[in-house]
Amino acid sequence: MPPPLYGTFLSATLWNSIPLHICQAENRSYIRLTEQEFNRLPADIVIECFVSLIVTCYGVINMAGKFKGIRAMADFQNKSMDTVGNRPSFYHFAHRGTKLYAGEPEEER
Amino acid sequence: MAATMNFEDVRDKLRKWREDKVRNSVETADLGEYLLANYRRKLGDEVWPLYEQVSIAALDCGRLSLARLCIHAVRQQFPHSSRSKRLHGMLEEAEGEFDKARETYNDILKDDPANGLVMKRLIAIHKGQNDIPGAIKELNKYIENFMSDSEAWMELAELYIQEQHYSKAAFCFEELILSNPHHHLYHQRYAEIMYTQGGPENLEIARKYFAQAVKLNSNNMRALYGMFLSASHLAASSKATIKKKTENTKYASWAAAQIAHKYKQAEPQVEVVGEMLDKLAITSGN
Repeated sequence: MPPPLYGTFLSATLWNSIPLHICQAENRSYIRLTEQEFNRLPADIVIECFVSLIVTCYGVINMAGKFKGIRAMADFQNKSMDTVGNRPSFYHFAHRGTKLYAGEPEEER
Repeated sequence: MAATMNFEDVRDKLRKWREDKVRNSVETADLGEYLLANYRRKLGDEVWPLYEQVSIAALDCGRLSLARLCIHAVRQQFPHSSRSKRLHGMLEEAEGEFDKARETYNDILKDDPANGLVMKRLIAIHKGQNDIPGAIKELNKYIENFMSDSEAWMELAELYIQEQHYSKAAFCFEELILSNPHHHLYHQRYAEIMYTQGGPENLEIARKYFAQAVKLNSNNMRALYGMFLSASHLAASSKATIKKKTENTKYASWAAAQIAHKYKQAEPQVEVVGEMLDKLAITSGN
């Protein structure tokens, strides 16, 4: 099913909740007018509420898109000990390279 | 080399090296010098980390005049920053003035006693003076305060390896494995230390950790070779029971098959791998 359809589901059920509220309020005022005792909501309103809740859940879950796998090792796959074992904070400059560079004048490098 | 490359390529390359902490000092100094000479305005604020990167690279490959230029520019822009003072200290180190550098670092630490980067430089001075036991002592003190610094643990391990204290180095890598259990290189390095220590028990541990490294990254050739060598060594050992011998032969032949398969994928023409593996097995059996 294309994603816009889930959006329609979602908005339809959310809009549907407004008439449901009105229905419920009307029911309460009717009960008050006829001076009956209020015990529970009528079954059709309850069922409609549950159905629209389930459809909303379905719409939300499908709108959110697919989950992406967490790949813990992905970062390290292409690394070698040359980069991982390189420790820039501990560089020292008295290494064997200094002897290598010592002979040549700096401009020629 | 740099003249034929365009600005974005060079900048992105240097940025990537900076983030991945790649050493490549000679190339970094060349490319960075080119960028700083031609595109200083275009770089915007990125010019300052680039100055830092280039000056450290220049110090590393002995181009002190380039390093002096960069460090001077940074110090003019940020005269009171500890980071720029640290660069100046590094220049003094490279010039061989270790006492002066130590003074510079101690001055920074007076204002900011928790500056880990500067403490690491003090340890690096010991290394530069070839005082490895001193460096180990200082580094141990540092690690007491900064226990989660994996770079320091790795440095300590390498220093212990230099001094041939393999069991202590192994302990450092155990810490690193705990800090990041999915890192195949830590497992591989730990196994290498165990393999170096030798003895049937350590070899068995080495084989297990090499196997774990292969499991985490099947393209780790060094771990495959390590697994092959340790397993064939165990299989050839005279003290091993028959059951262990057959098991280890199985592991060794599996690793050998994997190595041969990888070579076939990379270079279908090469057919000397089998022979080479046989030779390795013979030498490791002795």
